[in-house]
Amino acid sequence: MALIPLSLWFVASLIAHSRSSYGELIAWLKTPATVILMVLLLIASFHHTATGVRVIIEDYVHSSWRFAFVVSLQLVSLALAAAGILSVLKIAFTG
Amino acid sequence: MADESTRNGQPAAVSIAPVTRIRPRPLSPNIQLYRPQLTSVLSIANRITGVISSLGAVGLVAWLAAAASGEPAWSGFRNAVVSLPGQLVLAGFTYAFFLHLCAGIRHLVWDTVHGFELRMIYISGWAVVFASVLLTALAWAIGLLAIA
Amino acid sequence: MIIRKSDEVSRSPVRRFPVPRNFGMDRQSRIGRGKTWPAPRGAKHVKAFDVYRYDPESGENPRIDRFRVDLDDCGSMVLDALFWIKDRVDSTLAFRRSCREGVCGSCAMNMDGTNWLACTRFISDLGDPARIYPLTSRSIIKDLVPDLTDAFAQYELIEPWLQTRSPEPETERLQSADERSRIDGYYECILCFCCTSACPSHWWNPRRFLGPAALLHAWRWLTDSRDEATEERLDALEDPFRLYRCHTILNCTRTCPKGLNPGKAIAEIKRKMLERRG
Repeated sequence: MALIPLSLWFVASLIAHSRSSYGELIAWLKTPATVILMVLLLIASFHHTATGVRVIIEDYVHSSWRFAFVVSLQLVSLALAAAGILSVLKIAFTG
Repeated sequence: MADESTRNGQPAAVSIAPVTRIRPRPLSPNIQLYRPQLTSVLSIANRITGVISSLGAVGLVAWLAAAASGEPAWSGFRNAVVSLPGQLVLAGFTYAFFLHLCAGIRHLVWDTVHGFELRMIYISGWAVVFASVLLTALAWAIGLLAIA
Repeated sequence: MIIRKSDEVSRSPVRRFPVPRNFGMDRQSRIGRGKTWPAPRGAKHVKAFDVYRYDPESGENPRIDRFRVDLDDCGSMVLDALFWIKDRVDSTLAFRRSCREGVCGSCAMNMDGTNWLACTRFISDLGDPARIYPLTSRSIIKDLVPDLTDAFAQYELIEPWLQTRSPEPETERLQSADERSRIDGYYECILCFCCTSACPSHWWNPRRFLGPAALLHAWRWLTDSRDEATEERLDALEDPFRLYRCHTILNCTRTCPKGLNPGKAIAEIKRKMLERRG
């Protein structure tokens, strides 16, 4: 449910920054509010992805592949969320 | 007609002729036959747009990673997005996101056991369809106006 | 575009999902071409009926036969047309029927792509050719007769009877008018399994998901003020497949020939689960 405001915030920001230069964008990504919201967005989206796609797999896959699919889905979701968060933190603290 | 005995806890098959045991029974068609309705079409659309939005989230990670690794990578990403195919893909992501969002809100209302009368199911269904188109148009109108 | 009641017939031009007719079907389930029966001689108003046929004794795959029905010689309901075919054209056509007035649920089948009772569907509401199939996604015994063993096993699993622990009262277990009204819209189910057979989620998980009909009955007993086994009933449903494979697609509510609302019943169960968890 937290995904509704977070994703709307992200879409609005994306529109606002559609003409921004690299420098402006980085400056925005470095503000503490952006960092916190972006990390929350990444966690919420990939949690939602992992649970949602898991239900889809359970619906359609009936072979012994089901378990392997679900596990790899969760690992991939975790890896993607981690990669996103690391990028955000890298921009915030170095960049 | 029915054979009342059960074997190994399995329900007794209704055996009309011994032939039925040799040849497995056919399964009547389902997806191949059932009429598409707003109910099922929106459900599968919600699912498909959810998967597309997940790919969009992968795009978000790619974008962040590009931004984190410096200006050249970010410019490459940006050039890909502002190209015509890139814009079309982005438009697709936008629509998928808004449809999934609207359908998700509809599901949240349903979770409170409201809006289950057939008439309301159809009204909310069409509302999702129109709202998702409208929101996509609105988002792009604002975005393009901001450029101008 | 807005459907108000489940008896409204869809007028949308899209009649099928864009998949091949035998998409993903088992070898024994693929449907072949059947025979075309001659039109009745001298008939003025004729309508074609494409009917799913399967003869377990022939060893052949299911097929679609085309019949031509003389509408001037036949009643107005689809069940009348099936009787006309059986009497006049092919006496081997098999279908279930009993009450012929929407009370018993025997003649549930798929007509022009939606599940309904053949006795309460007007011939005039169907296209030409009318497409008559057995209930969707069922193991077929013969022609339009599906095997409902699994469906009734799932019904049995929700223990559809009154369960009490308190000592038996001297008189009947009384209900107030308000308490009684809570099972309205749920006790009327005639177990035709139009809804369960119309549920895509049940198509993909027919054994593990209980399906709308059984779950509607589960709620009928959960909401009965006299029943005292609520906790046990909820325990039995607390399972990722039995209850939670319902994705609120609502094909069930759209198709119920009694105008009931299985989708709402399932949502009530889910809410009750949530309340119980606190």
